[in-house]
Amino acid sequence: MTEINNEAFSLIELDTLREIINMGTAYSATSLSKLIDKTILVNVPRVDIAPIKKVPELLGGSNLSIVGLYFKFYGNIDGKIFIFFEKETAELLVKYLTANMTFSNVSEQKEIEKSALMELGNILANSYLNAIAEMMDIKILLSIPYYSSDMLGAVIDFMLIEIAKFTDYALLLNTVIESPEIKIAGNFIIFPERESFEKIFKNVGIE
Amino acid sequence: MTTKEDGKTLPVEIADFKVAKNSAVLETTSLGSCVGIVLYDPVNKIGGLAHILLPDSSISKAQTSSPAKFADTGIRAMIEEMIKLGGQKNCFRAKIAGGANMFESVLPDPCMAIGERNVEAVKKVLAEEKIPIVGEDTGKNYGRTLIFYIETGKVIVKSAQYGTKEI
Repeated sequence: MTEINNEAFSLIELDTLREIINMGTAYSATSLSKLIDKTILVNVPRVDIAPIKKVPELLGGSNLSIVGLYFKFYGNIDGKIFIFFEKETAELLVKYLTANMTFSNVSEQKEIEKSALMELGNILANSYLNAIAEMMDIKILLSIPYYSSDMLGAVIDFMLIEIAKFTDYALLLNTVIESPEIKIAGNFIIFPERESFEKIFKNVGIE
Repeated sequence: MTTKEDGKTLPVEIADFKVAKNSAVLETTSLGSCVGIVLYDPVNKIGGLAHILLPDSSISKAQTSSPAKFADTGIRAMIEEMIKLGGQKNCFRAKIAGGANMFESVLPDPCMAIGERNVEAVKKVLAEEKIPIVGEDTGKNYGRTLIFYIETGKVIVKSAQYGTKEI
């Protein structure tokens, strides 16, 4: 049994979570692949339990420059989903997404880049949650995107604060995407609400 | 949590605090919506740095091993440790940084304003403890790193987008 804050997860439950996040990321990877016409691969999904203070380290270091998109989701299950790219990846993705676009000035360019990334996040988060909704035959709705571009530690501390209200440990459901064709690195992390875990396990047939 | 090492830079992690004296330097990174609180006693050269996440321990529903998770318990625990190290509370001064709203969106969302609530809570506790705030870089929308030189009371705040400033 793996225990976090008095909730024990059995091996079967952890496997179920890995399968779900793998599926979600695979759908997102397919969407991204279609958008930029490159092969996108999903790395082995990780379910890690770590003290909150160690989370930035686990995700690449608190000083890593990233662009992050944060969403809340509601419906039969609730929670949050966070997608982030290293800054270089975000810049590269923007190039693909705004191909051949010309800008009249730097500030317009920045606004359009931000919009493009928010929209990308929207598409990827929707794909991820649609995969889960289909798998579980339920309804899930997504919030508008919240965008941040800064050091990883500062960007994720909002999520760590949410977790810290209940426990000193974070359950990280994390998948990484990459491409053999271009240098991109992206993470998908989902934070289901505590009550939603029960619903997930019941739904897939394990109690 | 307490250390007396001189001249070295001692990192303070999320939901933690450290106190030290003389030429020690305390540093904390990843201040997004969290707030970094510096307390220093310029007379006795004692200082402390806390990295808090939440405003109030009464909202916590679980046990915690990190008193510095909350503004109220964190600041008070740090005051106690500084006094043990030889600090005189009536000499204490505070400098604070952080409490940003790191995310932007098409519509503002009050749920994302924890940074602001953290800053308010910190100011409230410091006022209750009668410790004046002599330097501040809070709010806005950028992440910060805070470096505190106990010897001089100097606090540097660094951000990825706006460089370095002293508070």
